[in-house]
This record gives sequence, structure tokens and C-alpha cells, in this order.
Amino acid sequence: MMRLEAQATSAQLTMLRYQLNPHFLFNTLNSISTLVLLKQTEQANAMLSRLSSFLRFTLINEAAAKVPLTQEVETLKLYLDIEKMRFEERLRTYFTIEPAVENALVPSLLLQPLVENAIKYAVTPKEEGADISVTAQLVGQRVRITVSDTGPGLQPGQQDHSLSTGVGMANTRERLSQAYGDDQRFEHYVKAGGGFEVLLELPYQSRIISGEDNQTGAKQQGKISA
Amino acid sequence: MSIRTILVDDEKLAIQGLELRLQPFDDIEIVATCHNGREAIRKIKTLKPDLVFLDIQMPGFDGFSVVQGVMDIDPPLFVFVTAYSEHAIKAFEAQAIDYLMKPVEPERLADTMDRVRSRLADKRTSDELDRLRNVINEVAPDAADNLSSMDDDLGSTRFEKLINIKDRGQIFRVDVESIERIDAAGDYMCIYTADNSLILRETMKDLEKRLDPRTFQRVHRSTIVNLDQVRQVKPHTNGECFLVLESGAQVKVSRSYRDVVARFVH
Repeated sequence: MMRLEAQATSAQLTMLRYQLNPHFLFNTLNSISTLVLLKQTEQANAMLSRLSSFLRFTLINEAAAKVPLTQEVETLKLYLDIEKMRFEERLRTYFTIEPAVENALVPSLLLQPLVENAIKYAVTPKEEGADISVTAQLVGQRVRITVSDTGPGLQPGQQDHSLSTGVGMANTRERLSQAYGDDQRFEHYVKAGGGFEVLLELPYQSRIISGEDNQTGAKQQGKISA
Repeated sequence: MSIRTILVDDEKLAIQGLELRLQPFDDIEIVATCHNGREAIRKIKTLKPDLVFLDIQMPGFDGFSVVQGVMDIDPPLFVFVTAYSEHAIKAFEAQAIDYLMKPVEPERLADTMDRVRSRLADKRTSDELDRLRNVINEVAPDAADNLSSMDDDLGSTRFEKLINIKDRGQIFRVDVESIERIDAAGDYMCIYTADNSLILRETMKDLEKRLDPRTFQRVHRSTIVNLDQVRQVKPHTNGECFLVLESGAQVKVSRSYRDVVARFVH
């Protein structure tokens, strides 16, 4: 019984694993190919390096793995730097990560779908683009993370970002509840001044406190410095 | 004759990429580049290009809205250019002449340009005839009748005698007269000759335009036959009938096309 449950959980986690967006991949390859034709080899190479690092994190990411928030943020920045090459000044990003939560463990690539949604629904549709902000702070013994944009918010007829992306927000929500049961919070709303915001809260865990996660975290950490 | 072209993509690099890849085509003249759908609609209406390369995902109006937005003028030919194939069917429904994936391969782009040229040649011939006919109708109504018979003669040279078909990595040059029938299968056309069958990636509507309607006739939603190869007409129930062709193959004529059959058996 226990084994069956474990198998089911593992299958669910695999399904919830981050899926690379083919649009992103092919657009990026197109940009690189154009930079090569333009003989802008340094830029082409910079973009290839970022893409390689991003693919390394996303393709070998284990569904159940937890990583320090700093690593999660690094991966987001890699992705956003690639997208900035395409969107230029239309994509503006702001990160405010409190030092107190830098080592907090989070399920790997938890925030990636949220940022991709912000690109898709806030930056792409507006000619002037949008800001994307990621904040993280310690609130008591909990880590509070927000991902927000200055896009049009929810459009009429579009009830939920998750409905149109399928594997977007629903994925993040599911992974949170897989990892922490009821001990987490997931909310999304249109901000008073416009724009969309997702807020999540999870218990503060660091590599020192948790046993098993410790190992995974250390392993992942090793990959960065390697 | 140059092909006046507009490029539309919200990414500067993607526009530059297309410009570079279009450089080898001497007949392409890029008259504008646009970074969003709104700008594209305005430029298409004012510059009246022959051809537009159009990205699908764009801010404001996306590629499909651009096509919709210029339908009130004589629209240019549209080639959709996108990173990923999920919109392919919708693109062809929007009457795109082709659909390219980024990064665009030079050979594939050459195919597209062949299509564009042949379509523009058709369009220019018929536009020119329309223009002539209008002028003559105004200044010399009697001569207009003569022109319509000339139109028939011109018509026979307008259609292709040989069709290039790429199939299984080879290019077949098929004599149009040897084609017995053509069946549609999704986005592909199966072309049957007496001893061969080949597959061509083209819509039935496009293919029909390249064939002389006096010889090639649609007899069913998904079938075109060469009328010169019909040997027998066998009536069936409900006003439907079967055509027996030179090779012995039988083709069903649907009810909506039965007048066509009446026209050539009498």
C-alpha cells in the first residue's frame, strides 16, 4: 500500500515537472542563428552559454528536488536574460531577495512557470512591454515569495492564467501541495494598480535543518560551483 | 518585376534574420518592417505590398488579426513565420500561401518564393485582363466581346504544362496531361498518373488555380479529375454517379457536382 502510494506520488511529480516551452527554445535558436549570420559571434556565444546553462538546470531537474532560493533565482535570471535579448527594453525585471531567505529551500523550478506566464500575458501583448518583479522575504518562520507584472491583469473571458496554459499556475500550486501538504499558501490576484500577482508562502527550510533535502540541495549547489 | 514586401515581427533580431535570409532573392524589395500588428495593418493599407512575412505571436493585434484587419483591401500574399507549429492549420485557414518555421531554412524559403512568384504571376495576369476589360468596356463596348474570346486563348497559356512535385526526396516533373486524377488528403494532394502516384504539399484550392479548368474538373469535395481521361459515366443512386477513367479507376461524383458531368457528356 505504502509502495503504491509512493509510486503514485512519484508519477504525479514527474507529470508536474517543468516542461520546456518549445516556443522559447525555437525563438532562442532563431536569435542565435541570426546573430551568427550577422557575424556577432560574441553575442551569439553569450546567448548559447546562457541557453546551455538554462537547459542544464531544466532538463536534469528532478521533480522532487529542492534547491536553495539563490539557485532558483539564478535560473530565472538566465531565462530572463535570454528573453531580454529578444524583447529588449520591453522586458524589465526586478529582483528583491532578502538575504535571510537566500538559502531557503524551494522545489526546483517552482517559479519558472509563473515568470513564463508573465512574459506571455504581460510582456508579449503590450507594445510597451511590462515589468516583472520577483520578491522574497522571511515572514516569521515562513518564506513569502511574490511574482508580479505590470501587464493587463486578467482579461475578460480569461478567468485564470492557469486555464489557458494548462501546465502553468496549476502546476506550481500542485507542486506546493505535494511538497508541503496544507502547510503552504498560494494566491493570485489582480493588483489594485493593475497587473497580476502571484503570492506563495512556504515553511522556511534550509540545508542544515532538513535531512534528505540537505543532500539534494548540496548536490545541486555543487553543480553550480562546478 | 520586383516583389514589394513587408516584414512583421515584434523581435528586431527576427526581422534582421529574415532580411538576411531574403537577401539572395533579387526580386524581393523590402518596403517596410513592422514591430507590431497595429503598425502592420497601417503599412499594408498604405503601401499595398505584394507579399507580407508575418509573425503570429505579437503584441496587440496578432498575425491572424492582421490578416483580418486588411481584408477590406485587395490583400497581399501572406507567409506566416513562427517558432512552433501549433498554429499551422489556422494559418492555412487564414489563406496563408505558406507557413515557415524559425529559424527559416534557405531551401525551404526558396520553395516559398517559387510559390509566391507563380501566384503573383497569376494574379497580375488576371488583374491586367480585368483592367483592360474595364477600359475597353468604357471606350469600345463592341470590342469587349472580342476580348473575351481572346481571354480564352490567353487562359490556355496561363496554366502550367509541367508541375514540379517533390516526393521522397526527389523532384518529379509531371506532364499535366498525364495526370488522371487528384485526391485530397488533409494538407496533401495525391496525384495519380497512369503508372505512378505522387504526393504534393499544397491545398486543393491552390492546385486548382494552376490547372486549366477546361480539362481539370472538381467532381467531389476532395477529388479533381482530368476530363480527357474519362471513359464511362455510370449513374448511381441519389443523383450521384461514378466516372470510369482510362486506367479503370472509378471516381465518385457527388450530387453537388452532377451538373459538371452533364456538361461534358452531352
